[in-house]
Amino acid sequence: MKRMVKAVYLGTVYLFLYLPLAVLTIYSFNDAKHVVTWKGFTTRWYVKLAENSVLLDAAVNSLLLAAASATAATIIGTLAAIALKRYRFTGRTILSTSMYVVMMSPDIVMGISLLMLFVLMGLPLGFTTLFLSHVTFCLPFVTVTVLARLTGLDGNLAEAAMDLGAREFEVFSRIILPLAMPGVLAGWLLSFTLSLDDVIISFFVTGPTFEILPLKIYSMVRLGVKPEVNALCAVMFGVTLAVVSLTQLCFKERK
Amino acid sequence: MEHALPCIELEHVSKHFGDQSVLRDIHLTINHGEFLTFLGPSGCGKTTILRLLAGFERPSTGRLRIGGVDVTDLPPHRRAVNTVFQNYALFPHMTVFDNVAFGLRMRRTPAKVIDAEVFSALRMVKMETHHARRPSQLSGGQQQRVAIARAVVNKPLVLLLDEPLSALDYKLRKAMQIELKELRRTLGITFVFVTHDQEEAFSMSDRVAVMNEGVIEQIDSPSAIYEKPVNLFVARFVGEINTFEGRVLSRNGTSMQALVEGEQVRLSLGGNGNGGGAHCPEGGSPASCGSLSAGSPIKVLLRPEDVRLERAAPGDAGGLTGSIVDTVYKGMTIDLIIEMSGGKKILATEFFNEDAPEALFSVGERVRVGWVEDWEVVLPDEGSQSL
Ligand SMILES: Nc1ncnc2c1ncn2[C@@H]1O[C@H](COP(=O)(O)OP(=O)(O)OP(=O)(O)O)[C@@H](O)[C@H]1O
Ligand SMILES: [Mg+2]
Repeated sequence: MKRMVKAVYLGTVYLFLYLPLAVLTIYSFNDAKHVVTWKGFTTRWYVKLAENSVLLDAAVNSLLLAAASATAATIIGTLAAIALKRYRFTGRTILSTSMYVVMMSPDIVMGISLLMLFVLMGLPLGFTTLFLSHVTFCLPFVTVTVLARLTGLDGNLAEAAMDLGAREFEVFSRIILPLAMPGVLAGWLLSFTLSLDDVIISFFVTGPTFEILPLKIYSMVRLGVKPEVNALCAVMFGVTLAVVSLTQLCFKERK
Repeated sequence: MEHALPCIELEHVSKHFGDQSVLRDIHLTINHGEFLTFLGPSGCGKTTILRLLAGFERPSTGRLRIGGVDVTDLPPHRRAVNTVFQNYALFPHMTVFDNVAFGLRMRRTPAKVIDAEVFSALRMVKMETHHARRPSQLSGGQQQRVAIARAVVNKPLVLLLDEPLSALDYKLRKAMQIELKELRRTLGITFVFVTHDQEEAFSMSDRVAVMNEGVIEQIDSPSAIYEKPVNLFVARFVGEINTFEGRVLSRNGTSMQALVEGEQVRLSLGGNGNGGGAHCPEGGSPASCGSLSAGSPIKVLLRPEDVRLERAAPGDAGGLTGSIVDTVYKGMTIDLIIEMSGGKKILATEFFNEDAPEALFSVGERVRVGWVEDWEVVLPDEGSQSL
């Protein structure tokens, strides 16, 4: 009886989580345009996708942007977290509070204010503005993730290292950074996903020179969902699944 | 000979955090090879002193010298001291070997030397077989040993230990106390130890500094601290003690007559030649010296085990008397609670005499309260000294 309940419970959870994705994947193999009824198996949407250079370019752009902004946000955010944890300085509370403010702000507010800023600065909209915006909204998430990791550590470790003759840089490179690493990696992955995901902020700060995938799809589906988009989404889901499984495996082995 | 050389000197050191004064004008010399323990209640500033010595904090005023070098302005990595932290603070991402090797690597010691030194340090604490483990795979006692090895492998002038045994269970703590004493004999370096456990302080140290609210109340050998406390705080902090109020009647040479609990008694002033019970060791508060003259209010302190009891004869008058109100069996000893004629309750500890069980007192018996002459401690009554 208990096992039954458990199975039903788990089944419901998985159904909620994966039913939409399963439907999408199945229909990416449906041999019909527009129609939601099953017309037989085909892989032609995948072939079409492979030929659609506009869509693929946008995908590559998105990945590039996500990788670049996640890396930048991770570097800046990690340093900020370490500074917040390790040093007492004026403006410390302001810095940590402002992190939360950025995290909590609605995307639409962020998007409009960033757009205004870039226009005032005279920056042409494109990769640069997208990059700066993505770094901005990813950074607090990295800081919070790394900070959580650092807070869980014994406060005397840095002092123990100094006591044993380590200078400030060695304390950082040999003690704090290695210990913060799981948080840093998690922060990077989170930033990468957030950047890849973002529609609203990107919508405001993007320019015609640099098209990214979410916006491209968004503009495409306004004319109805094309099966190619289904195929693309299925591919992206597959990639995500692979990446997540890989990181899980990596973390398990390190323990 | 080397013992006479000062290793650590604190000159009028004080420390404030904001407007809170945590250490006040600490003036102290610790000799080479000495085992000195700071003993005091929570929050009295023990850890702060160690942190000043290690270099994690800067004194607000005063100077610090270690091995003759003024280190007041030197960062931790340039001081010849190493610390054993209360929670060990082992690096969780390194093996035991790498933990112990860390200090040597920071000093760019050649790899070959590191190998030999690390293993010799690990052997000293009997942890050489665990060199490849992570700290998380060790028990508390084993982590403690690694922490000690990690500190001593650097051959510091001074080893600072902040309550290193407080996280261990009773038996292990006892064993580690003995090991630490042995280690100190082998290494011959100065140990500065912090604890709030009086027994631990007494069993390990050459000298104990009893602290209270940022000042050192008394610094002396364990026996002097116990037998000749300079004030009520010290007397009460290190074990049970009975306190009587009194007043000096007359003073002559080596003794004085005093009125204690309404009875006239003779108090000894002989002892170590500087005022008997009310002696004044170095650093003792000046109020406790020489200020006792006819009429001064005094406190007479008596350890429970120094109390001597006699059965009082029915017609007896004079002297301190009381009656037994309770007895507490303690195995080796028996505690007697005595209510004095004036209503005050005191504690006396008697050794169990298996051969003469009838010699034991029973509840309700009237007794005369005395003490071994010269073992009482007489302090001027400073009024404000009540706890
Ligand atoms: N960094 C700090 N900032 C502010 N106050 C501090 C700081 N460090 C210590 N204090 C204060 O200084 C006082 C003494 O602290 P300390 O840690 O030296 O006590 P302790 O004798 O080691 O006590 P315990 O036995 O509880 O460890 C305490 O009142 C504490 O609150
Ligand atoms: Mg402390």
